[in-house]
Amino acid sequence: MAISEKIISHIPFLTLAILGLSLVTYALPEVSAAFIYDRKAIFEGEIWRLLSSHLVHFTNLHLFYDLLAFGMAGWIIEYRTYRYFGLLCILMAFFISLSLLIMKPNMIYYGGLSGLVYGAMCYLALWGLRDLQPWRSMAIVILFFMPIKFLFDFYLNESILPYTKSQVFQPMHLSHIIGCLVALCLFFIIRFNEYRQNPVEIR
Amino acid sequence: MKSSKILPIILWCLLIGNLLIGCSTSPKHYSSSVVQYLYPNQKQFVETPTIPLLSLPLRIGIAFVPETTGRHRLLTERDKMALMKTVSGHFKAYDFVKSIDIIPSAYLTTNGSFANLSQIRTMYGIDVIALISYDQSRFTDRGLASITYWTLIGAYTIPGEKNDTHTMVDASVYDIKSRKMLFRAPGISHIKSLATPVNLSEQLRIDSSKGFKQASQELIVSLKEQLEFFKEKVKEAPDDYKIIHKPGYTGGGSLDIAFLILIMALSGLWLFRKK
Repeated sequence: MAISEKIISHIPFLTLAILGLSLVTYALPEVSAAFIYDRKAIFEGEIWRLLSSHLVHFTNLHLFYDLLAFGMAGWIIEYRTYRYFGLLCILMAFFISLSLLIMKPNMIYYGGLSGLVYGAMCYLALWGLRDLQPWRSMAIVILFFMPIKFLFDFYLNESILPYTKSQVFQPMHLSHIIGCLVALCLFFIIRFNEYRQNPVEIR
Repeated sequence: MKSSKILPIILWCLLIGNLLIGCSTSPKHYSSSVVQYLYPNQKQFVETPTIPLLSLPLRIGIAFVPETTGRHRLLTERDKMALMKTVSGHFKAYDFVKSIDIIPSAYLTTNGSFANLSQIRTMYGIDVIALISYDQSRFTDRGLASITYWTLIGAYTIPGEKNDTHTMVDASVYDIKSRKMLFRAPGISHIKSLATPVNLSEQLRIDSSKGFKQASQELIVSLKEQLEFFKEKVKEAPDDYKIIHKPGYTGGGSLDIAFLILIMALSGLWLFRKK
């Protein structure tokens, strides 16, 4: 394989596309307004917001944290050629928005990539369980850490702490859990299909 | 000869007398009390507060407690408004505060208690109220300088009266429905000055105003600290405060620094392994 082909094959196109779209959305308020999760607008038929809302960010810090984390997680997933990352992103975006629509009736606006980041991390760790050391240990640590983090986030969410001077929104930890659940489901569906196709090799 | 002996004795008597007079004080006291306002005529009353249900973002009211010194009022309505505006400006900086209403003194009745606060809650639609009270004591003493003034030097040359002005401004923040005090913040000042009997009252007014300004500034600093403590308290004792969110809020999928560090460590490890 030529060097240029090798480089191209390692470019995380999907991750870069999502990062680029997020930056454009943040830079253009009109696009943000058209993409944001707006409960009323979704019920009026603007269903693209269920997917596009995750590209919207509210503050510089919000954008920076989300893009940095998603960039790193997405890059590793694409570099290691873990399958169905694109499908995972679409499923996570849809199910996170849907769950917010059902479970958070008082929330009128939502935006942010963090649900997808958590889901991507979970997906990465699940595939990492099949890998060699020390990657496998790292995957175990991540999978162990995540439930603790969820409990801690829920505990903090019940306090006044999420309201700080710089924050203009209420952190929505439900999106993180849904992101992870979607990743978990997709991973097991893939593994189940692999098992059906070739049960001996999987064992 | 005889008169020359008597004169020093008279002068010494005057001096000692002046010294004794110099130690005497004429204190003036002005105050308003939160305890008196909320629990009038109930010396051994113990309130049993329920768990406050803080519906975020909060609508806060801010008001001055009526004076306990009857008609002798130290602060005008204008002064009170100015102080309340300053305090409210600092509250507004927090995103968990939706609105702040400045409540005129006329709406708070003497010994009004929580019944009065409930009326204000209905009128203004507030959840929480910051009750501001104050206490100012002024002392005027004749010191050594005044002796010099009375015995040797002309009337207006050296200030003769020593003034002490102690001021305390206190803000107590209450959840009206549960009757629970969320937190309080004090501001204290001590002003010392000298004045001649001619400009004594003017100087006292200046000291009084200066004392309030200093105490108010300290109150604002203290308020910020107490607000941070309160946040920690809510975090540490979630059973003591119930937090809910009002309809119409914005949610965000955001990450914290701990998670970011984890991802960076992971990426670092992976890159290191690749090499």
